[in-house]
Amino acid sequence: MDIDYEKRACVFNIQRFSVHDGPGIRTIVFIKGCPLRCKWCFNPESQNPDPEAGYGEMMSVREVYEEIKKDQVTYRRSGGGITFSGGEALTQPDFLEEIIHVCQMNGWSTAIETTACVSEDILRRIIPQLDYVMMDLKAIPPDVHKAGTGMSNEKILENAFLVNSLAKKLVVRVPVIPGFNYSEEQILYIAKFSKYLDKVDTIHLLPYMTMGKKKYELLGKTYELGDTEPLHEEDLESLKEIVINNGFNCVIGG
Amino acid sequence: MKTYTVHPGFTTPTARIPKLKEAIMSSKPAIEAERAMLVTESYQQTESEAVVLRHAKAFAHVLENLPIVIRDNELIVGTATKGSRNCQMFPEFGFQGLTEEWDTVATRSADPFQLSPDVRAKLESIVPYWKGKTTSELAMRLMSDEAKKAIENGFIAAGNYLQGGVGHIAVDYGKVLNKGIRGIFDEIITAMQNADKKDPEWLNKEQYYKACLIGCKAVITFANRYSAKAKELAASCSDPVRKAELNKIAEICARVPEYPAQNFYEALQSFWFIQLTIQIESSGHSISPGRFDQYMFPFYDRDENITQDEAQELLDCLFIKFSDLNKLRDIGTATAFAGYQLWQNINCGGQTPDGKDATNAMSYMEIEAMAHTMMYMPSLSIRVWSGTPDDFLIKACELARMGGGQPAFYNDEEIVPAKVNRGESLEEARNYAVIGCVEPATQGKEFGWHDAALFNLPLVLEVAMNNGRLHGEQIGPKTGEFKDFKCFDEFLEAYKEQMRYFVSLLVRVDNAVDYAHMQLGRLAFVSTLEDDCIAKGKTLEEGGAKYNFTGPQGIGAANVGNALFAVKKLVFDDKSLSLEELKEAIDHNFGKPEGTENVTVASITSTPSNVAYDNVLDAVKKVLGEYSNFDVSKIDVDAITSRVAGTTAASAPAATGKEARYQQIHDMIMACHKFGNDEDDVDEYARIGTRCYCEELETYPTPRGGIFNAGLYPVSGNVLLGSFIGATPDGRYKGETIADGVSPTRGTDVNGPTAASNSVAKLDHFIASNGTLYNMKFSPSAMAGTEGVRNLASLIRGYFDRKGGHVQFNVIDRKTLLDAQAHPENYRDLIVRVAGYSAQFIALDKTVQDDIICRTEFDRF
Repeated sequence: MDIDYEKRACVFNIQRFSVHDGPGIRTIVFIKGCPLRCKWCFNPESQNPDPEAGYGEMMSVREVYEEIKKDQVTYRRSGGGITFSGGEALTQPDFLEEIIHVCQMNGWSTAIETTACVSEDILRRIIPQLDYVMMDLKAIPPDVHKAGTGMSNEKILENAFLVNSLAKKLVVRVPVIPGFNYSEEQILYIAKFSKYLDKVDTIHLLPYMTMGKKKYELLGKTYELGDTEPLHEEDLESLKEIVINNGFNCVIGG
Repeated sequence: MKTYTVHPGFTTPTARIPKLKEAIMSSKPAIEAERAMLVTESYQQTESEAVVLRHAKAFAHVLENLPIVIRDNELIVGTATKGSRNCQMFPEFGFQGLTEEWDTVATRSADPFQLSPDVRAKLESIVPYWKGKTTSELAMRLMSDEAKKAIENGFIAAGNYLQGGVGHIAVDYGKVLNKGIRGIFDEIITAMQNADKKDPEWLNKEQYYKACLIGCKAVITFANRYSAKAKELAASCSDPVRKAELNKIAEICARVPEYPAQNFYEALQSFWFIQLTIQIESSGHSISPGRFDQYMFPFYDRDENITQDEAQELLDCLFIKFSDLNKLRDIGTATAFAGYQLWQNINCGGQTPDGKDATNAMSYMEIEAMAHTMMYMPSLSIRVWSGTPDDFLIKACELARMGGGQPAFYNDEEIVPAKVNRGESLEEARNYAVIGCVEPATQGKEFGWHDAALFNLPLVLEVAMNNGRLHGEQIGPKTGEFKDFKCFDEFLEAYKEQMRYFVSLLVRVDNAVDYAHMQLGRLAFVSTLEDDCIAKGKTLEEGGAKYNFTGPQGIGAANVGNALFAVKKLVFDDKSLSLEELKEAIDHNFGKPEGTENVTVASITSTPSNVAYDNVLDAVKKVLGEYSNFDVSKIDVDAITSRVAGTTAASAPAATGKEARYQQIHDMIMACHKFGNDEDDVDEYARIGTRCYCEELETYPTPRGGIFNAGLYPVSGNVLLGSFIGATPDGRYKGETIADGVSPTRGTDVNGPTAASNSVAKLDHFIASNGTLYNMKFSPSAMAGTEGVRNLASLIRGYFDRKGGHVQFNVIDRKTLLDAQAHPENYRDLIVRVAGYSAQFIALDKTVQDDIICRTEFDRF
């Protein structure tokens, strides 16, 4: 099984020493391209699959390898590894598969943050190779989902079951956004739905942040959430209780 | 710089490689006479000259006349013998013992060699000439009676340099690759010009330098003869592809090693001529390429005309060449160190002298070559430190999973400081190469005299329990009767005092051998490749190397640790036994009836074989009494018989009375903590029991300068040495094999691999700086999937974080090994790790096979 070191994808960031995106100390590889257009998106530069406005660079598997190997001693010591994020990393399955093989060849754990909003084929091909999957469930009612992300979620919910059957380890992540799903009702839907995913025992609630706001200007995009105030851990206490009451561990901030 | 790409798993070698391998594996080793005859012829013509010059002339005479053979499909050429895996003889080192074995040499169980009547007649014709002139005879003349007695009694086995030439070295191959032998000529001539002619030693030095020049010139001649032969074969070759290959070989052999190598192919061929001719000059083994990836990589990296695949094929061809060489050893040595092994140890990874990670493309390609060839030589050693890339370690673990017992893993984080502690600079220490089994020595600068002798640690304990007596005879100092010890520390002190005495005998044995080699200091050519021989104007044997040590290895660490602890706990702490009771039980072999099977290879039901029995008896006699009047009746024949025959204790009568009590005491002992389970109480005594050996030894200087330098590794002598020892307080029965290296006693490490390796890491590996050896055995199921190799890599990192020095693995299940014993014909390709080397399982003596089968097998992490 030879690795194609020349496969390329548009990578817009490689973030070292990440401690909230999977076990241990990790390096996150952010890959550009996303099927969703979430109004609150923290990384608006990740949506378009191509380099733009100084964001993103076509990188080969070899180049990414050179970068992520720098913290290999730390992965070893902390039980960490590599997390693929985006955008939606699964939009670049060919690249992803090669770099996952590189990680396996080094014994590094691999994780992904995914919207599960890709074809069944891709999920079947990639998810079983990963050690840890963090899957977003943003909202359950299709109309709510569509209003916030620009896309309905029937396919995503169907994929959630597929991911559940394919993943070695699975957690559900929920970005909690005022005016979208920041309500007990919406979180209860998510918790109830997650009960059908037997591999899930933990739900991460990620409080709304305004960090991405500045980038919208640079990209010439409009930030639709305007002056919405960020949420803090204490704002999510009652939601956390709902999650716990439904039999899950709950982590605020992931 | 070239890009090298690493991929998971291993590729398939080219079609040439299995053909080359088959040619070697299907060959039946035989003895050839050319070298012995040529050496003798030359020596007879140089009677009045200096020894060093005589040997150089003999060496030249050999290289000028040895048959030149290029085998089918070869790309790297050069051999010592007409037939693959045949051997030449080295009468100048030790000869007579071998000639006395001619009748059985073809039929013996360990490492048989064919001997044609013609070759035999030739070799017999030179026996009278060499009588009294060999190194081994001189060594025995220099040895004191007490020292000889210690050999007879099995405290010390010094077969290596006693019977053979000097070896165990990783020379500066890079010097030849980069400067060519012409560069070495210049170095010698400059040294001669600059030498202080007023120095009275100039007289000797001049002889030495002349010998060096003769040796170097002879090696060039030898290579040029290969060039001519290749040209001749090409002329008559009808296959255009092979014809082109032969012409290429002709071109390369005309250039190297005389001139600097210009590309990767030339560098490999140049390397091989050096590796080969060193082993023609002397019969010494463990001529180790050492840090091959470091000196070879630049030639690959700079070579613009070679692809990765082409380079890999050449490297594979070279790796197969290592098994083309062979040496005949007497039956005792062959039994103890079986497997047609020359311990040519090739390394990769680790650190550069300036402290950066040294892993390069060649490091990965070495692992690939091992996977492609899967032979029993060379031995591959992986140097590991915190900066070792994960993909490299995992790749090495993938090779380990293939089951050939390769590679072995070494810990820079322990070995480098240990070398600095021996007086080497940090840069030199970082440039250590692993030699032979597990011995670290700075490449091109250190002559470690590794493998100087095997030393029997539990036998020292036995003597300490008997007030200095062995089998009723007073052979050690009187340190008190066992029953009279008032506290544990008195017993421990008795052990230490016996240790001091027997270490002093060990030193006398080694020094006698050392002085014999020094007085007959013969080896000029090899010395030109080792600093500071040329500068000092001395051979290696005369102390020419920059760093000199003598490294004998202690065996039976676990037995000593378990024994000391059992005495302390049962007698002095719990007071559940008296010293008299314990002693009586031990003296009665814990009530085990004589002649019953000790080793628990229970499912083997082979019929007793007289041939095998005779061989082992011969082997023991040989090691014990080669050079002295040895009383055969001292051998524990029953223990050997039972072990060889593989009989079981099925018909043993039920124990009664006293015997029942002895067995009860045995049960109490076995219930004590045992080394290998991460129990601090017992592990501490394994540390104390071995440390006092190492500490005592390092107080002795060696004749060549430098000091004695202890190791804790067994080769496979643990089987042999065990046969000399009575029952021991660790619950070991009389005659039973002792623990190998620093490994726990087989079957007693029951808490899994991390507990076992934690215990082993508690020994002081730093002070055992001639190397430690830890064998682990896993069932293949434990290694399955990417998880399996990941876990193995983590286990190695964990053991090394705790400063263990070395670890190696057999990945094979017991069932396969038992089946291979029963049906050897189906397992010709089965290679297993023995000690610091791998061997064809079916070529091993049965006692050694049984030892491997009985090792603890982990089926999980």
